Amino acid sequence: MFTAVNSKVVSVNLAQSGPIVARRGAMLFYTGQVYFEPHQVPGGGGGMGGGMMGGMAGRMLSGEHEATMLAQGNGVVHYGFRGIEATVVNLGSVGGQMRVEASRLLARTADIQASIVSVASSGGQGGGGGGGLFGSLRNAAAGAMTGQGMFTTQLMGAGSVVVLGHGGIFELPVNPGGAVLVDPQAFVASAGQVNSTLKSAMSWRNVGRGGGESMQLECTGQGVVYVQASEQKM
Amino acid sequence: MSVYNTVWNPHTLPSDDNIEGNKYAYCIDLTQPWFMSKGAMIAYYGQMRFTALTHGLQGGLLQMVAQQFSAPLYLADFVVAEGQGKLVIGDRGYDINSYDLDDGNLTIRSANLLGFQPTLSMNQSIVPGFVTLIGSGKFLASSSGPVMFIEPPVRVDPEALVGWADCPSPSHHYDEAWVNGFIAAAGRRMGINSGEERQFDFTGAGTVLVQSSEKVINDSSIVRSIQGQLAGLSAPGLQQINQQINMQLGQHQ
Repeated sequence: MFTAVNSKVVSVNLAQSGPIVARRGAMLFYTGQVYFEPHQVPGGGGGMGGGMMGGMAGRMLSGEHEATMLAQGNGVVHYGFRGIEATVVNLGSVGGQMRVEASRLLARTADIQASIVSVASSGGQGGGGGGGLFGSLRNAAAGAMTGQGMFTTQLMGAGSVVVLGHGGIFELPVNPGGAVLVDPQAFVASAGQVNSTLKSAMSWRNVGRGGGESMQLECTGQGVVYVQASEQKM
Repeated sequence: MSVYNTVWNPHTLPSDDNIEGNKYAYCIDLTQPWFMSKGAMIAYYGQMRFTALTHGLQGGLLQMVAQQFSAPLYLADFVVAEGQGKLVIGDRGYDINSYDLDDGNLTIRSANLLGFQPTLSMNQSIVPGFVTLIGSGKFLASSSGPVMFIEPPVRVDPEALVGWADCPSPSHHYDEAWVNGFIAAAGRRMGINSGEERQFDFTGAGTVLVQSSEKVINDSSIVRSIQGQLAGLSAPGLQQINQQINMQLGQHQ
């Protein structure tokens, strides 16, 4: 549904894709009859009541809040953000599930369900690191290291998503037999059933003598991990 | 030998073209004076002088500047390069392209204009932050990612606009549908309006040039254009602006 115009810009035909939710300020230009309005994450209360305010406050506290705009109508809209490379992901072809930091989400079709989930709950079956309290603590540490905070955005559905990554994004497949180790700062998103746990190659013996690569994110399960060609944060 | 480890010399460097395999650098074969954006030069071979427009110009060069450069706000941003040799320019790792204007006119964001031949005259646009080039000649422009050329009618985000050629008349467009809404009105009162509600509307014949939007780093020309307009304001007007500035400064902290 999204078409890559060049490495930094995507276009979408609203007549084919239906409404689009995109980060505010990411619209570059459009032709045709297109209407923009502010958009709230569904499930955060919706409407204009006090419920929405509570949901909004919750999202702001969790750091997983970016102002978004809903585009609908008839026409072609081009999106890009601060000259950062953008990659189109067809959610349907990667298992219909993706976890990505809200600030790295450029645009998505509005039929995708978005919710804020705690990073600590992503462990589930406790991928090797042991479940329980320690597992969740470790996952929380992973969130802090990747700069994602304690929460991340979970997307579910069959639509398309555009993700931002400095210097371009490449995909690494994750299989039950083969875990992938990623630099926490280069980690962008994961799709499918992927657990990520923080691994430390450091022991007390060499504290302060690490080579800067002492922390790695171990991704196990079945799916795809998206990695950017840079360690730059958003 | 790949283009990435080629060692260039004055004879192998291209003349008036991008350096082979490198869209981020451009080499000018300097034989006649050029207007250059300050800081765009990254290397040169030969005998060259870079003279500021504001002082130090003499004789024919001074006359040339007086005739071709009618943009007082941008005097401090440009220099005249003269002499003989190969001049390599680059800009923030942006893509650099050269364009030939044939008895035409083109308006461009001043931050994206890297250089132009003095056969073109540069005029300050009435749109703040933009300049208009009129005449025939070559100019160089940078963009974050490739430039996209669009035919009007189109509406463009101000931050993504690089420029426009010929005369598609630009005007502001506001999405009134929700700007008048309850939340937007409250947001506006608090000075929050950085979204899609404001666009440039282009209609008519011509071409619009757009890049992936960039965070404006250097807004010195906008600051100068605001300063230039302050002189005619009344005391209540100045107070109002002062209030607005304090509010925005508060948000930055």
